[in-house]
Amino acid sequence: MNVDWELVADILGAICFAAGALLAFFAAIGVLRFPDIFARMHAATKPQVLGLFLVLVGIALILRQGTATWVLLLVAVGQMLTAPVAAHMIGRASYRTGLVPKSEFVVDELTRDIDLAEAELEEHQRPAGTD
Amino acid sequence: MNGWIVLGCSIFLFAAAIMALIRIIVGPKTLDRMIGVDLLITTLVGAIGLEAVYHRHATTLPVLVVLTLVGFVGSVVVARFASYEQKTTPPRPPTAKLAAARPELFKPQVRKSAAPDLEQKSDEEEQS
Repeated sequence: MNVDWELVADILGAICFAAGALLAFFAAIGVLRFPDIFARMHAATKPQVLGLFLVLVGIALILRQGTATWVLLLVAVGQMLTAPVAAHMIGRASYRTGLVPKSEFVVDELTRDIDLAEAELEEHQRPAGTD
Repeated sequence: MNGWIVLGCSIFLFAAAIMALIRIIVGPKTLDRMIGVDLLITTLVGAIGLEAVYHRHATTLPVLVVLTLVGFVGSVVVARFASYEQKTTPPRPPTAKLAAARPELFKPQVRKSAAPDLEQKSDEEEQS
C-alpha cells in the first residue's frame, strides 16, 4: 500500500483552512446581528483564536516549509498572548462607560465593588475637602 | 489546493469582511467598531494566508505577524481612549440606593493607609 503523504497533507490543510474561513464567516454573522457589546465580543473572539489557528495549521500543512512554519508559529503565539489582553480592555471599557445592559445580568458584583470603592474614596476625601 | 476550495474559502472570507465593515460603519459606539476591526483583521489574515496557499509561496507570511501585532496595539489604545473619553459624562445614581438597601456594606472601614504616615515622616524630617 503506497500512500501519497503530500496529498494527505494537502487535503488535511484544505479542510483546516475551510473550517477557519467558515468560522470567520459565522463570527461575522454573530457580530453583525447580536444585540449588545458582550454578545458581539463573544462572537468575535472565536475566530481570533480557534479560527486563526485552523487557518495557520492549514497554511503550514499545505506549504510544508521550515521557515514558513516558524513564522506561522510566531503569529500563533503572538495572537495567543495579545487576544485576551485586547478582549479584557474592550470589556472593561464597555463596562465602565455603561454600554452594557446591567438589568439583564444574573450576577453583577463589579457594580457593587465600584460603588463601595467610590464611597470609601468620598469618606477618605471629605475631611480634607471640608477643613 | 484545489481551485474550488479556494473559491469557497474566498467567498466566506469576503462575506465575513463585508459584514465586519457593516458593523464598523453602523456600530453605535467606538468599542463596537473596534470589535469589527478585530474581526476584519482576523479575516485579512485568513485572506493573505489563502493567497499564500494558492500560489504556494511564503513571501507574504511576515505580513501576518505585523497585522496581528498592529491590531492588538490599535484595539488596546482605542479601548483605553474610549474609557477616558466618556468617563466624565454619566453620573451614576445607584450608590445612594445601594446604601439605603444594605447599609452594612458602607460602614467606614478602619484601614491604615500609607499616605498619612509618609506625610508625617516628611513633616518630621522638615522640622528636624
